[in-house]
Amino acid sequence: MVRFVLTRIATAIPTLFLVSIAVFALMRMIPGDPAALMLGDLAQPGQLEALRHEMGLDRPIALQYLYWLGDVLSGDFGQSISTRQPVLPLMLERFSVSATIVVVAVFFATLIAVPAGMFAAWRQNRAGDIAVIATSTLLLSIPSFWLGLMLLLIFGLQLGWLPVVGYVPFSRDFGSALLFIILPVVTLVLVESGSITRMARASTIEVARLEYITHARAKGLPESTVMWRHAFKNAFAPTMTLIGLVLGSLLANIAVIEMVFTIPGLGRLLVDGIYARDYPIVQGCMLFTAFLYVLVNLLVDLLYPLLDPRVTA
Amino acid sequence: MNRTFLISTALAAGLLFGAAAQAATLNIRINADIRGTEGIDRDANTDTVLHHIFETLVGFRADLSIGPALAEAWTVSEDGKTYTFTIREGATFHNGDPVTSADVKWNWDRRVATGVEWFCNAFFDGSQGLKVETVETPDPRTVVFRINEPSALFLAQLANIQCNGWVASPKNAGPDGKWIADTAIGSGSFKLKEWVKGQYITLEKFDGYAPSKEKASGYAGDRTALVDEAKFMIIPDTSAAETALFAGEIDVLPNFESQRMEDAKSRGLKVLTTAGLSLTPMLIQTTDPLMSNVKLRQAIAHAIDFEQIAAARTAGLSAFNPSGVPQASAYFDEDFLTWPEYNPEAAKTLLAEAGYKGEVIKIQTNTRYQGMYENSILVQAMLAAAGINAELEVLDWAAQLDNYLAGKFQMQSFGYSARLDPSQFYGVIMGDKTVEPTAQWDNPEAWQLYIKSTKTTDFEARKAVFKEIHALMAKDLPIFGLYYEPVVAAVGAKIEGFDVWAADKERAWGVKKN
Repeated sequence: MVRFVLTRIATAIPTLFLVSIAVFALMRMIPGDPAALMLGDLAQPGQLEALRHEMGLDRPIALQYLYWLGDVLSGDFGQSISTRQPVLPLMLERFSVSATIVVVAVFFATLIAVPAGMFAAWRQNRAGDIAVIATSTLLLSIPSFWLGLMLLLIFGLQLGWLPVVGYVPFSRDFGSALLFIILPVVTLVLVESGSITRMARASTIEVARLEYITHARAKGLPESTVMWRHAFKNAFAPTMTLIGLVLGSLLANIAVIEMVFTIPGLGRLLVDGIYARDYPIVQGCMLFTAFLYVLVNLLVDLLYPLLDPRVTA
Repeated sequence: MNRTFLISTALAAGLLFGAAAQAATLNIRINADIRGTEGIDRDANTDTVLHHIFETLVGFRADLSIGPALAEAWTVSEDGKTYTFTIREGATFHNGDPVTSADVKWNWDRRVATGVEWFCNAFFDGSQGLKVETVETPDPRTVVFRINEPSALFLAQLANIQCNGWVASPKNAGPDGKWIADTAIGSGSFKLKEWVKGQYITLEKFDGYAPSKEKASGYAGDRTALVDEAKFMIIPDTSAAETALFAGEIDVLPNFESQRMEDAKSRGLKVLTTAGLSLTPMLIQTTDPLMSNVKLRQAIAHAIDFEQIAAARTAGLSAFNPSGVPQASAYFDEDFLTWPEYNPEAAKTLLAEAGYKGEVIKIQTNTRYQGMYENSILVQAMLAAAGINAELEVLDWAAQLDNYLAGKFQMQSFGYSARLDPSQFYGVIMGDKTVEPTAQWDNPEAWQLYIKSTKTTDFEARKAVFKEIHALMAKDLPIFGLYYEPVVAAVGAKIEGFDVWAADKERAWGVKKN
């Protein structure tokens, strides 16, 4: 197991290294100068050059990369160009906001989607199955920003039940925090439960066709026992892979939801960073996101043997 | 679990609405976080927030004249080179210290020592003519600025909103002389309460504020706070900000889209408008081989229905204005509207005279600023109708700005930041294109007139200089001004006393929330 973990971490290093080069190069290939954006049309002669020099943007690009990489390896992700805040603490602070919403959303999506998928598999080709499939397909087809806006308009604007902008951390005020995350969490739960339901259904149907399930039924075990005790574990393994992917994907792509609900998370930090050509922010966020993907997938791989003993680490 | 959830939700809702009922908090939307509290590293949001905390010696009134702010009065010597300011009686910093002339000098020296980093340094260091030679403090309430030559702009530059040349307490700096991060001890009617980065900045009423005797106007006069708190909420997305306004979570939504006015009014909101100071032009690169042909530029000018564009884009709030003198300026009159009239037939004749053979003219634009994008579409359509082969080149705003700075374009749909004095605007667009690629108009005769405008202090004489500049501009056609962006804000029904002004800066003082 230890060897497996170490091997996976070792294989992640070149990935992260390549990501760092790609992100660094791409940011500099797209037109736009962070110093110029900061000064706008008010820049006085000499001021732009002075600011570029202060930011180190007048150095050769390869040298800029090496300086940045050296700093990153020593745990220093630099300082935001536009806000002058250190990038690493800022990313971690914003990540905690995104992670809270994503983890809660994925938890509830799993809680709803897995039983729904298993139910659909159990009632395959009957009314219940068709209803679940239709609902999950509909949810899969709805863009998250549209659904978010609709929920905002209904529950925030028309009914006035929930706040429409802002965020309060749980550490500050639990009740208010809860109110602020309901809409983004519900949006994500609805959107993501579609794909998880379909995967849970498909894998349950596959497992239900296996001989040991037929054997269990032949023994006269109740259907609920067959499904939960015998089918669930094996059927859940592929679903868990999908949940891992969803989790990683959401942590990286929650920007749209954060923009709609004005949540100061990692995604919004990244989007704002791109608009402002805030190189340290964008590079840091992208590298951090790549790291999250690797980490989540590693965790999923490690959990796999617990559900399916045929798979060994 | 369900029960706990419901109880906590109900409790939270109670707390939330209860809190809102207690304090009179004016919630104002800003679209991005502020950059700091020192005022050197700045943008429009930073200026807006910090001018509530700090005061400049003088400020712009709503009519763009100069009025008292931290200084209650000032005199100018006969030779126009000595300005003596008297600090307002009772002016006190948020920490209880009185504001003295020594504090004014401390701030001035600090700004000047910053050098090129303070973008207004060039306005006062002699590189553009005006130079502050000494700042003296004969007594605690008197501060004397001596300048090198009479200047029509000295007070305007002291009041310049983007310069942030305000007076802060020296206790904002640590023993090493550096500004202490996130500190903001000023003498304004609001003091900094809380800054949650990326989310909001809350200011609270400063009870020790000693008001000016002059009535509030623009950034001048009495700035007494009537609400307990002013909360600047960071909402980057415009739709989200609009939803928050409709839901009553924000009270003031600046830069409201003029096309949405009727919808806002139908929801019981107030929509306030006034003429603005930000010119929205089509830039022309006169060094481009094709665009250097003045006959072609004349043809383009005749091909564009400027009045229609202004009316369509601003819902009739702004009229066409091609000059550097906005309608909101005291210097403005009809002479500044002189420009080639809309006449597609004349355009076609001029195109033939110019030897135009259907070459492509690219109009750079972006979708980040909807106004710029829509202007470029309208201009392209009008040019096409006159037989000009214009194509849009839609770029990311950062890329377009890069091209603006490098002068790499044929035509560009653009928007200038507000300049409160016409000389400030002409100073930006004029210059030697070989050394300043951002200069749009390279004409030595016009430059001399601009210099004259900065030194002429008599109102009528100065107005005459501006008219001469505009007459030259209408001949050269180096830039096509379309209109000055109107200032539009949507305000909640509970708000009283909030108003918009040409400088497009929100002010939380003098505002009540019922």
